[in-house]
Amino acid sequence: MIVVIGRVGEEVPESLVDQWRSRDAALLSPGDLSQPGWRHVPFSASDAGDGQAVVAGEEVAMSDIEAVVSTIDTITTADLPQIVRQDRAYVAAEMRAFLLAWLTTIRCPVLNPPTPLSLAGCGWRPEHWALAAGALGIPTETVAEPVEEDQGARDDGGFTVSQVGEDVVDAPSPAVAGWVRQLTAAAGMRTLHAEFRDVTPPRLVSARVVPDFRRAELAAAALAALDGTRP
Amino acid sequence: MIAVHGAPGDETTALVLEALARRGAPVSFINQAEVLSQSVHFEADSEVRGNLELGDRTIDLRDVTAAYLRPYDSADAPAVAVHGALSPEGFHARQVDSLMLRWGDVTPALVINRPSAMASNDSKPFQARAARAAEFMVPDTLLTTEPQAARDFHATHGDVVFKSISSVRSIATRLDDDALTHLDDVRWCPTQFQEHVPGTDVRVHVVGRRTFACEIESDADDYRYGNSTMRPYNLPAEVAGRCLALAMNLGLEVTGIDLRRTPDERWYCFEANPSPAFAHFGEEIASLVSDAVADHLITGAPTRPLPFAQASGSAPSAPEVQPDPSEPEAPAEPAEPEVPAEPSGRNVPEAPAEPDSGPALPKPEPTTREPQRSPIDDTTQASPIPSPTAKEPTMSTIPTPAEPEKTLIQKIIPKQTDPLGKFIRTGEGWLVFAFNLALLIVPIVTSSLSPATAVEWAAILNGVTVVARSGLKIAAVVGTPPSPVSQKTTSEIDAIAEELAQQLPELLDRGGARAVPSAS
Repeated sequence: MIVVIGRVGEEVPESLVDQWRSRDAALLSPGDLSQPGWRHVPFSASDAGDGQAVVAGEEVAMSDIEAVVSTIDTITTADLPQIVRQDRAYVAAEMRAFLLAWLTTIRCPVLNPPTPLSLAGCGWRPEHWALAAGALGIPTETVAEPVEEDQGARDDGGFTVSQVGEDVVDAPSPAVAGWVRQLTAAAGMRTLHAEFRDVTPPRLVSARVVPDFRRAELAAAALAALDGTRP
Repeated sequence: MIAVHGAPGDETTALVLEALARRGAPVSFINQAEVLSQSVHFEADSEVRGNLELGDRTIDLRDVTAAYLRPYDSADAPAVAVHGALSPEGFHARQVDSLMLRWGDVTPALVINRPSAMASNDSKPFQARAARAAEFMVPDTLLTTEPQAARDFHATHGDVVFKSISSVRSIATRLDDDALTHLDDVRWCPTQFQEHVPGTDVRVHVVGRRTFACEIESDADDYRYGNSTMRPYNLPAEVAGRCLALAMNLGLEVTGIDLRRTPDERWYCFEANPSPAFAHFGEEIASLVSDAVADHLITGAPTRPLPFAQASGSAPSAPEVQPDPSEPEAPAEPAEPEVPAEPSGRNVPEAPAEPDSGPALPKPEPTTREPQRSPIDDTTQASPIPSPTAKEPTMSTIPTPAEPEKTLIQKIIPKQTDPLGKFIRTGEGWLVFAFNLALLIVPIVTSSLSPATAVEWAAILNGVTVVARSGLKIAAVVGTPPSPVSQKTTSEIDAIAEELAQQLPELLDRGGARAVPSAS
């Protein structure tokens, strides 16, 4: 089974589950963390592979989970309608803390390993990407905080480039593909979605770790990357 | 220039400011009580630049060589609180907090501590992984939503405590007979159970490459919530080295590490607090640590900002680090534990509860939502209020009001939205019950009706009531145009507003100012 962590009703995780149906993919949503059946022993060598999860409402032995992909960076109070309102903030923090611990101690591959800043990768903010790009010599837009009202309204064209595993798609030139590979490596990730301003030379506008997995070629590349890292 | 961001009533921040002043260091105190006269602006590309406005003063952020960040939620400042969390003033306060933290992650200055490094404290098991890499022992741990798994864990270990997984403030609590009866509540949220480790608590403050330890004797499972006595402790060099390794692994310049030494000299690590309130571990420790922090701010070498040094605590193994022998003051503790003349040890005086890490399996309510005043309010010395921006920690010594037994159920987590519970809570159920009781008992007692007639009348009246109530509901639904607002009660709207206010820091953190228009 491949576990996709995401929200019910969101297109990217549900699309991944559909595309990987043959691999018994299933969606682990925040609601699953309010189901009995979770059992995780993070620090016992003998038990580490012997826990149990709840995925799509069903109890699943950890040994049956081949790989995990996360599409959410945190859990918010809005994810927890099943919890009384006054407890939601606390429960959201607990569930996020649990998922961070779970994702960093399970034995199977995780496509975009979490950090304390995000359950789906490095959790870099715009200024982190800009600084990293600047340090790598990649042309970048200046990130200004707070954002002024006339910023972001620019409409001068742009393009996006994605990397999943070794595959880089939509790069207009080998140079841009190289930049994306450099950024992905700098973030310690294996996936990236980068947006560039279409000028000469192109300039990085923004980046995020989770690409648009609704695209078949990206989903296939993710599967190949996971298969390539399975012990 | 050294920037200090904090609240005027916070003793730990005050100690750092005093130590810096004694050294004549140039300091700009970003006083959270004055947040409405402050603003932050920064830009990043190949470098970070920007300005900090403090009233009529402007500071070029590139002039800041070091920063000590220990903020509470600026929205709690009295000048802001009077306007409400969702007011423009509340938004401004949170934006200043957020931008200061974001700047703290990318500035090339030395920062105590970088927010991204502090985030490791948001998951205790995640941090425990780093502690294991630093060769500390950690208690056997179970994370579960399965009541039976918790019972089995208890049966295996005999003596078990439960506490929060996240950094939300909690009290480590024994899983006793009473708590065992409430285990079904764990099904609503993963809950952390740990074997109880017997021994003596030792708090180690790490500052740069220096360590300062104190031994704590307490009558409580969680020393922060009992009567505690503290005295300086001579930490073995090997253990000091592990502490330094852990701090390095987590990317923390300053940390307060909670250890327990078992009777057979094994060392367990529970937590590394990224914003330790060292002011409350006795005068000697407070003085030594604040001096060391000031020295570190003045002379310490900065660590690399986030994009170039992901502090995660996830390194598979920590380097073996020993206390720096070249630092004459490395073991700052006295060679022999110095026992003060009176009283022996140091009875921690009543001190404010820390803006600390969270509730146990338990719910935060009692410790995080008490209407305490913030240290931002410089007119009071009352307890700091924990806040999302205060990634603070554990400390406390302070006898905090014990939680009454009746709060246990509330503490054991989340409650499902339960129609029956709502029915009973609203009083509707009690009214129906009292109505029927009166209908049946009064006539019978007064002999005005036979029991059979009383039941008959009760049935008729209940039937009429149900029909009338249903009619009113239908009329309300059919006759009232859809209006989400009109269907909300005042309390519901208040609750939604509170929830939005709680999400604001997260929205700000995630999207910066871009998130604001949609949030508001």
